[in-house]
Amino acid sequence: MFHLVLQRILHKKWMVISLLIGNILLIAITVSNPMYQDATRRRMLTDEFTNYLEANNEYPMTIRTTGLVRQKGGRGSADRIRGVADAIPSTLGIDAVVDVNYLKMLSDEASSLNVHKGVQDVQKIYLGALKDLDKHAEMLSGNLPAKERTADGFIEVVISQAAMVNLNLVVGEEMEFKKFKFSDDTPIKIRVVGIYTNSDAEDPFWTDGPDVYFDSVLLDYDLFVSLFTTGSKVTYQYNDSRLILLDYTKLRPEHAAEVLNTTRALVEEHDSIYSSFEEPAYTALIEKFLGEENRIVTTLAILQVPVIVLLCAFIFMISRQMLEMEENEIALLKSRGASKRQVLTMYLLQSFVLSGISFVIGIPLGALICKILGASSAFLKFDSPRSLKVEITSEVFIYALIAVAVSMIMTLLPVFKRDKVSIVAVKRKRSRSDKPLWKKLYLDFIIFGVSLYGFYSFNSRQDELLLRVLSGESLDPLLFLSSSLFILGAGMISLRIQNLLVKLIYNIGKKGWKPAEYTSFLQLVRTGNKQAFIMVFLILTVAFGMFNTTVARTILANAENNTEYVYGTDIVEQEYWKNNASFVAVDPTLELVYGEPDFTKYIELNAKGVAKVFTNESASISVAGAKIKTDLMGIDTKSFGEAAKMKDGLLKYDFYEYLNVLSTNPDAVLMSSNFRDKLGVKIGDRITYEINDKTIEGSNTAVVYGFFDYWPAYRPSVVNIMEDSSTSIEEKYMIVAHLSTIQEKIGVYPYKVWINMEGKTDGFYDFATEKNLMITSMADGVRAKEEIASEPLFQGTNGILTMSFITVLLICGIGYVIYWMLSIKSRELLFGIFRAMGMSRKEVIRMLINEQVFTGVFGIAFGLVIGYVASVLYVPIIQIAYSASDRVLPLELITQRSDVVRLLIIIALMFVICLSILINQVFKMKISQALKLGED
Amino acid sequence: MQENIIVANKINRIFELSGGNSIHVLKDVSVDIPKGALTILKGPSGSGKTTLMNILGALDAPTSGSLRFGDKDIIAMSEDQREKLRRKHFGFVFQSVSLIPMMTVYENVEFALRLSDFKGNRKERVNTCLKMVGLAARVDHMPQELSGGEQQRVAIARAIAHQPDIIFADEPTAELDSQTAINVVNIFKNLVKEEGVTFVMTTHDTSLMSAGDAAYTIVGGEIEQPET
Repeated sequence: MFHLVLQRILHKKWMVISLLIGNILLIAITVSNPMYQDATRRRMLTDEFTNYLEANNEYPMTIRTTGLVRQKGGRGSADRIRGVADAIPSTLGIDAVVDVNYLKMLSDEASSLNVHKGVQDVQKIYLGALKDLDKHAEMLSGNLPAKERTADGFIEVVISQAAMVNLNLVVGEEMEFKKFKFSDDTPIKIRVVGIYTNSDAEDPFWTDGPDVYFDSVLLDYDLFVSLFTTGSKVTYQYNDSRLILLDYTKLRPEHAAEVLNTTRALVEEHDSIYSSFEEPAYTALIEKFLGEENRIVTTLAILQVPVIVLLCAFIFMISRQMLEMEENEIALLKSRGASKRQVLTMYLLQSFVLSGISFVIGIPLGALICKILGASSAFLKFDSPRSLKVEITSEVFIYALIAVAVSMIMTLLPVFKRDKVSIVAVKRKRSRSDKPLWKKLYLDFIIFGVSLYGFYSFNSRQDELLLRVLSGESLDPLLFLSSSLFILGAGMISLRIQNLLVKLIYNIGKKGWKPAEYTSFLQLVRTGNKQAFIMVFLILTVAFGMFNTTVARTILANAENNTEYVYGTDIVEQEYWKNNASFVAVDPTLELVYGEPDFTKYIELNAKGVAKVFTNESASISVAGAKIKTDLMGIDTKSFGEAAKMKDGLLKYDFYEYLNVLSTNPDAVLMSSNFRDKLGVKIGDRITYEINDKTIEGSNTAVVYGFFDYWPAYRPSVVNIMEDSSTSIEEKYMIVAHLSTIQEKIGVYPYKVWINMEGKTDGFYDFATEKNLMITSMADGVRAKEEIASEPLFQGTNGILTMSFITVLLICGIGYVIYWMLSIKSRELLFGIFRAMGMSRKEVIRMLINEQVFTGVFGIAFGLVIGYVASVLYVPIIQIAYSASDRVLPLELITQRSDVVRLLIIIALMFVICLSILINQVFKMKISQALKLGED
Repeated sequence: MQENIIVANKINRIFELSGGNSIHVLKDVSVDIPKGALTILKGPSGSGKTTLMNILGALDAPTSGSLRFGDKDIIAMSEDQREKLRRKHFGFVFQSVSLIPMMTVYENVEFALRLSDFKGNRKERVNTCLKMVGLAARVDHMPQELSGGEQQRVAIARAIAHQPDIIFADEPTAELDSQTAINVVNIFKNLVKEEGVTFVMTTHDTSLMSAGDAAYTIVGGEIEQPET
């Protein structure tokens, strides 16, 4: 049996190769899904922590506990307090990078035993011990403290530089505590033997720095333990503090939720035994990650569904075609006594062999796909500098097995369907040409209707969807399904349209058609079912291609445009302004005065434009008796025009027109159009704006010269996300006035510098270093824009859509060539008859070309139209999933023509291959042999 | 003695097989096909009669020998010219179903007219031909809806439609029961008699031998005994 199967596989090598490609792709794409999700999750989590580290300069996974040890046993005992803290890393399942244990006796007054200038110093000193100090300290002078009491009864201690200053101690100093006594009631005496500092500036052991021990003297840790804790008969009270830094790079995303919950449970359970055990900062980070993770991972998973479905259809199609070729063979086997089970087993075995090979190739290919996905930076572009760490987990094998099962079902489904076929039935069936089931059931219209309903219901809820996405939910999977159904339904309907069109053309010239055209039209009109599947496939390929590129390009471009808009220009920075704030703090009667940094230096910066932009978010104006809070922007019209970036088409008139209008009057202002629409302000109205915050006070009366819907960096409304992840929309107002007027009427206050570097900000950083700029705030719009493409959500989307697109192209190409090769094979007898009747080779080829035109060209045309319509309908809704809370700009649908051209070129290539195979076949064909085919 | 429409002289056909082997299918075969008569080529299967028929019908070229159609040398013709010849002057009826499956009975017959660029009233001619074979009532049926005998009659109607000079029928009765086979041969005979059509037909059925006006028996690629 196995031998027979192998022979069959070798015999039908092209079909088998196609089936294998389908299987491998199915497995690879299926397994790339969990691998990619896993890698994305890890990257997201790590990003969350590293961003926190960069923003706060604080180790992201830090746990601090402090417990007061005050009794020998029970709640306040040393063992209990230490035990809980000791167990934290193992309870959470994450190794500690560093575990700093600081024991600190309550303070006591100590008096110096040495006499300085005749005065005996008495001061409060804490006696403490830092575990592992010897491993992390460098002695600036002296040496580490002895591990025993000295022969003369002293405890040796060391101090930090801060303690040296604070406690006014030097090496050699000896002190005696007032109340602290040893268990034998002799007073505790200490001798300072050294001054330590951190041996390595980067050592996480010194997270808090040596200076936090400014009030303590440190003795040897083990000596502390033996003297004051376990070894002592007396109960000393001391604080046992722990600083545990957990290795956040070891936190696996799948454990994140568990770690979060365990941490909270720990805090809750043990809070009472510690004087301080607060919820660590990382819980908020994990919480944020968990909120986003779901949305992103779900979105990415959903994106892969269409291509997986298409692959299944492909495997089904190839398998069915193969079976059609083998119908005679099966029927023959059966007529010779092979049982139904034997036939099934044969196919099962065949499918098993194929799946096995696919399994072995598919998983590494999946990992490769995953790597490539991780490098994607735009649609059909893979050049991201960050690489993705791909791991093959057990989940991957589960997915692979599911894919194998699905592909086996797809391969065997046609066998089950045909299984009842006998040799008689085969012959009979061949002579029947039924309307396909889906046409009879109007399945196409049903699918199309369902998708339109889906569109309608989603479209009418756009605002609600946006708010849900902003509060961390993923977009409804049904939406993606709905767009896929739309393409499928419309594709199937186009089959009917194609059929009608061909019928129409056929009927128009019925009498006059030359034999070649005549036969091809009849072929198309009468045997439509055969080409239906491949045409649907072609339509789906083109339509999905169009749709995918539009989705990918649109969401990325819109996010980038939006970022550019929100930033206003490439660089927005503010230098340090000298001021007299420290004097004002002492003497409130003084006026706060700022010293403006030199602005002329920017001439040397090679920028397209540099502008002073004053912004204040707590200005207000009085309209209709009510005070309205508004943003105020002060600009110099000429330089602002050069420095600001404004996308064309957003404003009613050209952006520079607005600036020109404003420049005509120093008291002119432009206002956001909601002043007009919501509050009834009109052009020519006189308004008074005022600033009254902690540092600035003043007002000016101005004349309204115009209204704008958009303005660089102006957001008409802001979505606020509350703690409980509910959302609210806040209306934003803005007034644009002359900077010179504001400075004259209100005063000179720190402004921001807007710099247009024409998309390349590196020059600015060089400039800032060279000029030694003291920058207090800084925003780089170009970097922010560039970073969008490497955000997991965008990168995953680009990668997956590109991958789907390539897969679809590949299987469509293979499918198309196979269909035509088979079509020729099955029609060889017919060609023989045509040729015998005197049709020339040229005519036969013309007939075939004609068929290709009406299936292929029609398919492409339908595909393009459907893809376009689907994009127009669904992309605006789908891109909601990619909205940031700072989304401002209206959506712009972007279809890159080069993508469509690429698609068409590949399809054209496919046609050329098919045609050359066809022409070759027709030329090779011997009429007499072809006719023999009919004689079996 | 009637005029011969096709004269074949010393036809040899050797099929080259892979591996340097070859089969000598026809050996110095000479046949004359008389005009306006039914000629039968008889022989067991594998005797080479279909190969001979294909060569006579310009579907295959002999390895050596001469072949004339009237005063034209078929062997010297180009593929284009042979196509034209088949299109205008020849008609074919094959052993198995040779109708074009996606065309109705009417369209199948009309297709021959389209191919030969028939100048007269096509509809009338199609109906006449179908009447001749007794199938006038089934013009709108698809081939699959007809019985084997009926299909073969349509194939005959199609073969005669464009009024070819000669019709080649390769085992037209092989897949039919004997009664239907006799009916088909009778149609041939009627057409010969009433329309003056020339037929060449191959068969392995000895009972049909007597039906022809002339007959050749082929055994092992050679003509056994020319009869008249």
